[in-house]
Amino acid sequence: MARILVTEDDVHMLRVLAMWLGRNGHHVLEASNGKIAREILESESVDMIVSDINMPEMNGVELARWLRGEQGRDTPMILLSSRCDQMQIAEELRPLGIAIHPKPFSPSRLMAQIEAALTDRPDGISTATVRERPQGTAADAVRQRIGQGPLAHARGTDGRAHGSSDSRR
Amino acid sequence: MSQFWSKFKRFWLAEEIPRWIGLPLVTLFVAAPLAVACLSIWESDKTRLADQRRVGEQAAALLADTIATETDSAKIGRRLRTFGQNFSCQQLRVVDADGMVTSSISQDEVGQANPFDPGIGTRLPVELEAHALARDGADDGGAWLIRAPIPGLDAASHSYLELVIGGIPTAPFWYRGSFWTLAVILLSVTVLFLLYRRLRSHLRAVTRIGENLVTQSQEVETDLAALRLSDSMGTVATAWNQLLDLTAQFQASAVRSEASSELKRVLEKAGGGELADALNAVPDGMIVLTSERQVSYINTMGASLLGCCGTGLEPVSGVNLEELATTAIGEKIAALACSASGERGFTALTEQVDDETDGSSYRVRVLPMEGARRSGSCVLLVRDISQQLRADRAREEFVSQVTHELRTPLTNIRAYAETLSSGMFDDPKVITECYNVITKETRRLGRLIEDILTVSQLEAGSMQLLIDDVDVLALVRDAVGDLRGLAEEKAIDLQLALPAKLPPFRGDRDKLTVVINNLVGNALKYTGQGGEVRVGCQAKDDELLLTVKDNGIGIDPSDHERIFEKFQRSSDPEALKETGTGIGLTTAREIVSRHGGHIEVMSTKGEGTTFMVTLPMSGRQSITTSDGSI
Repeated sequence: MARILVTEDDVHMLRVLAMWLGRNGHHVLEASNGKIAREILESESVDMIVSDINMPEMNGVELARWLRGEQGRDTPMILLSSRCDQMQIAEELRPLGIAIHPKPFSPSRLMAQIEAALTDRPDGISTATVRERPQGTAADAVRQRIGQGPLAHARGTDGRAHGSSDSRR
Repeated sequence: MSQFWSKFKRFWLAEEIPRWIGLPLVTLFVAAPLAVACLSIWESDKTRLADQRRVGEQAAALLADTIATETDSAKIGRRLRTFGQNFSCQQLRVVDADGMVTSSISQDEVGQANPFDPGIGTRLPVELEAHALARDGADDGGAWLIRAPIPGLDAASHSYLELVIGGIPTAPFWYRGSFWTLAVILLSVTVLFLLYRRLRSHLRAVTRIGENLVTQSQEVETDLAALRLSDSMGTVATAWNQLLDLTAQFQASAVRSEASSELKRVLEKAGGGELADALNAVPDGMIVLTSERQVSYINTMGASLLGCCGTGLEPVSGVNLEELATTAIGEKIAALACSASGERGFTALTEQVDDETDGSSYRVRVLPMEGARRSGSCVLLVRDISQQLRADRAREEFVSQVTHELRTPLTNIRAYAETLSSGMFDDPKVITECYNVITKETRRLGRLIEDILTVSQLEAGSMQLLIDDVDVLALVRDAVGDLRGLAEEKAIDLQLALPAKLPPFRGDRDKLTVVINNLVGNALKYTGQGGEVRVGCQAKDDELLLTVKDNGIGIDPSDHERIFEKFQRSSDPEALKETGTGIGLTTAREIVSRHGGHIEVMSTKGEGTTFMVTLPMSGRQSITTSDGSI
């Protein structure tokens, strides 16, 4: 079980992400904006951060820069974005090792990407914007991007990703 | 030496004499009277001394006679003293034949009771005697030694009376009148020489100006800078320089006038005044250039952009384009036009040029003229695209915002739909929640699409109202009900203040729903956690009044008009933290306006906002009925 911080100002999106992550056996910490997330990160240790970009008070990009810069932490982070300029943001965040997952998205594929990111720690995952593929799981897609083969334990017919707890920190 | 002589001749004898004759003349007229005055003083001084001597001699003779008859030495002493007082004698003594002083009185002793000094009976010092004799008869303003024989006293002894009268025997040189005469003359000449030098520099400057004018009158252009004088020469030089400046302005004006005449000639040749008027009426700048970058034609807007027109918007031509440009944007346009010219003439290009001074932008097109490519002539077309760029930016921002706004409910719909279909969640509460969210987000999506459709209809000018009887109370309840979820998320107290009954209203149900959604949606968006939003509705004087009041961040008065403009949002950074498309209030006002009503905004920054919609109960709206008839 990993501790995952979900930062999202839309309550419905926060709720559905929490449901899926909880269903996958993770402990979820919730924040409605970047500022609250920052306060949580200052006091809590998390294994993964999933954050929206457009939020009041402090947006996801600012949170990412604070985490990597001021805090110097390499916690895996995935940003969710519905912005038109997400490719540009992805380029900016590439040096920080942070991926962007475009909205709208399939929860199962996002879960696969999260599991892959958790599995790959501390090396991290591809920082490129992850596009959904018609075949194979998102975890496979991510692994193919970074030059690795698909994970046997991550395959599933329903698109669900079952991350191995052994591989987690 | 020869140089000095030639200079001397030229100055004093040759042709320059008339020019410089003023100096000796002035010297003569000013210094001569002064010299004469001093000489007169000198002469009167000499006369006075001569008179003094003559009187002294006569008085001495009388005194000698008196002494000769007097035997009492005390009396002789008193007489001497009295005489000394009367004639201001410096020395007065009686000397015998052997040169022995028998009675003497000095100038200091004149007023003393006993006039006989210890010098009586002593011999007069040889030096003093020699000095006194040497000065005898002196007429240079000093003193005289006068000897008067004392008759009858002793014929053999040849005693005599000596007295020294007159000025101070050793008077300094500056005591002389001659010295002062010379001093006055020298001083006068010095002062005059200085005055002359100053006058000569002025005369030289004037001469130089004259010579330059004569020389340059034969040239095409007069170099006015060569005629300038140094300001150190005083106010006259400054005034002269100002006159030159004015002349330069007149000269430039004349050049422009000439160029203007040339332009008129070109226009007349090109098609007469109508064509010129037509080209001047074009809102774009148009400049025709020769291969030498000379302006052969420029219309009014072009001249205005280059900054080369006068107050009368009189364009100029026939001069170099780079020289003509005086504004920042004009210089950029000129540089661009010149860069477009190559060895084979001008090449076509289109570039955007920005004016940093006012933030405006221009599209500059350089086009080779038909049939003139070889000659290198071209035409510049300059169009102000600032408004267009602003509109493009606003549209891009709108598309970006709309995309974001559309993706948000779509993401929720997809996520909750997959949650249902995955079969992983079998809790009935979760399933119900999924259905509710999907329904709600679908309606949210529908509202957004309705907004976008309204904007597109507004832009196309094709928005029409489908008029029917509308139950306003039900409409308000439904519209506000859709937004309760949003209010609950922010713990905002969303209250309805509705009357029990309202007469039926004739209007477009869907469009009015958009109005209420947008106004209440905005109120919830810009009101903080735990705030309050009140929606009221009432019929009054044949009007339907709808109010939406919140205690949110408020709107600055300067933005009250701006927020109703298409794709525009409040400039308040606090408001810009929230996402928005900038079309909600635009569509609301347009819809209300189409119903014959109007929207007012009352707001104080930081205290809240009230939007008040007034709609006429009796239809004044442009109506399309539900069956499509108008």
